[in-house]
Amino acid sequence: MRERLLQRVKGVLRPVAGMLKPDRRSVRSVPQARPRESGSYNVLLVSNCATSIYETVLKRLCPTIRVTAYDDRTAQQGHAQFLKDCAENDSVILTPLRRDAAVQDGVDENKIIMLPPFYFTGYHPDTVYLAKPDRTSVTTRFGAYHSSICFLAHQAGLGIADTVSLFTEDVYRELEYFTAWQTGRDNLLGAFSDAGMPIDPLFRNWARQGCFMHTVNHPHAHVLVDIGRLVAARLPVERRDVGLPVADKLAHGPSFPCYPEIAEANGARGSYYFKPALLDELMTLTEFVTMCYETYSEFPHGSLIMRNWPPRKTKAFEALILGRFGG
Amino acid sequence: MADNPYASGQDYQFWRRAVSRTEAHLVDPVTHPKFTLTRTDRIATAGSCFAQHISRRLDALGFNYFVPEAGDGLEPEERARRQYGVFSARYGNLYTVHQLNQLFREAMHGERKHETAWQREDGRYVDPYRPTVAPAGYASPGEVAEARAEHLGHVRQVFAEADIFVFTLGLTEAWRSREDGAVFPLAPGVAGGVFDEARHAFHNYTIDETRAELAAFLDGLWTVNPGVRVLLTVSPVPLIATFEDRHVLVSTTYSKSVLRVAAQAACDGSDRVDYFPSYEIITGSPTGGMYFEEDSREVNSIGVAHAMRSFVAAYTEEGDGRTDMALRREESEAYGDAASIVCDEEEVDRSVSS
Repeated sequence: MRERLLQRVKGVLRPVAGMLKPDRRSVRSVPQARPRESGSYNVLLVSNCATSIYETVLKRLCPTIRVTAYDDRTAQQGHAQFLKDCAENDSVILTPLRRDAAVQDGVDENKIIMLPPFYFTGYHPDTVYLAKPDRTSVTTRFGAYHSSICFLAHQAGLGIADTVSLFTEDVYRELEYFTAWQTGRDNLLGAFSDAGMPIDPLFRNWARQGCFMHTVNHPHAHVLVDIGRLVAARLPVERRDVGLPVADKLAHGPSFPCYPEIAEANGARGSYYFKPALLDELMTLTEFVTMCYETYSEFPHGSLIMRNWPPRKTKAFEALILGRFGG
Repeated sequence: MADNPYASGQDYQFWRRAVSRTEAHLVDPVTHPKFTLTRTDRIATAGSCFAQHISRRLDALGFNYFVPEAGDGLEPEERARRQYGVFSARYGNLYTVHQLNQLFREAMHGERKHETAWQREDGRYVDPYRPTVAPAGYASPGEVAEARAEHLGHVRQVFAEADIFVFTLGLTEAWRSREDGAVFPLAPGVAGGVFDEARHAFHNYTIDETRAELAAFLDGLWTVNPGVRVLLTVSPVPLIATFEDRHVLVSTTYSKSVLRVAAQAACDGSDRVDYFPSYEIITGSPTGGMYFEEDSREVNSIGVAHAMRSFVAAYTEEGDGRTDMALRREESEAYGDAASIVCDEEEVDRSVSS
């Protein structure tokens, strides 16, 4: 079921073969939420890690609405309740994945506002997810986020110091990290445009302020506030025009640095300090690599795989380290 | 559709396409570089402080940064302290075009100047035309002259042997000798010497003076080195002070405007001269001050990186890191999968949060 849904989402996000971007002409018309004639206006919000911040923003901007909010996984696992909630709310704000599942099961498309997950690798092109043989994620104090360089180096049998020495501009260039910003931007903006919620001007403003991501899918709160404002504008209710900041709850989670070389190329400032989840402390690159090595060593060599990682890059990495470390 | 002169314009000609719809750090105003730097080209630099960034970056990239006066044999710290390698020769900052041409005439044609040494308050002497390059100063005017003679030998090499001469125009305000018109980089009395109203005068060069002096310098340069190509930039660093009785911001705009126009005139006048718009990259409204330090004057590292990215992409065969089409397609196809991983990610987040 989930695989089928994933395929459906990919159908939405993936461009037609041979084209650079999805054909904007094929973007479906944006349905407008129906105004409620009397009583409170009920909104179902289903998103990801950003759900809580979106909920705060919507309530702040739209004081008359009542919001039911939970994350996408909850909606997936409790599909019946999710469908019931869709029926009972005036507007439902869903990821494209959940939207397709809802429409398939009869939810009125006109009440759905699509809100894509925010995923942008431009500042963190080294980040990958690692899967165990049972396809669950390998986690550390940094959640499911890993460094591809660190993992590849571990798999190649390099020591910690040698691995740390690989965090350089040359290596990043070989692994195509310097192209990630522009392709990541195109994909992110495309996803939001396809959902009928273009964020291009907002994105340019965020980028002016430097790195606006804690991790590849955890934007800084002000980004989510801006998007929440777009969502609020789609609700047919009274809106306040306020710009008060909200607490950046995702800042309590893990935060990967934007490496200085990557940052400099993208108009930002960077570092090599990693912040683990829930702790207000920083790890150096050496400490981070050491921690990762301890985790990877718990698994048989070759048993972990990087998700969405092209083999071409692994070959490029292997060619890069060949002969450099006496191997 | 009605035809009009702009109808066939390129994207870079339209603000909306080239700027409004482009992220600030990706705005690249270089459109038609006139030449390409190779790794064997001897690249010389001179001018105001900002030229130093170009020197450093080219050096770091492995280009042939041409430094005849390199301070060989000195410890790195001593080299830096005595400003070896900051520019191709140890001439210090050449803020005005008149300073540059004056140096050229002195080095290549032996033109002499009236004031040849300034005494500092500590009793030591400095070279009036580069008063800060020797922090220890010299024991006598004679030592100053000796050091200058040696320096001019290196300067001759710079002008005669460079393949590319990068000059950053910095200022129009200057202090001159009333006796022979010699131009000083700093006012007498600031880093040596004594200001004497009878002998020294302030002058703010006009566009006509600046344009003519730059043309004269280029003519002279090509006489001794016909093959050299010249890359002009205007320093984005505002004046630290103006001697004009007006606001320093207004004086800065005047100064930079004159320099910008003079650079354009030189560029328009010869295929051997190009203008690199680092000034526009740093000061333009697209970046809205984001490339300045807190003093709104010094350029920060992000701004320098932007300018140098543009420079390297335009004038060298090195890393124009723009994404090729096949790669974009591959990344685009992977995006849906990657974005969907948030579903697992939430589970992980809960696990570390509990």
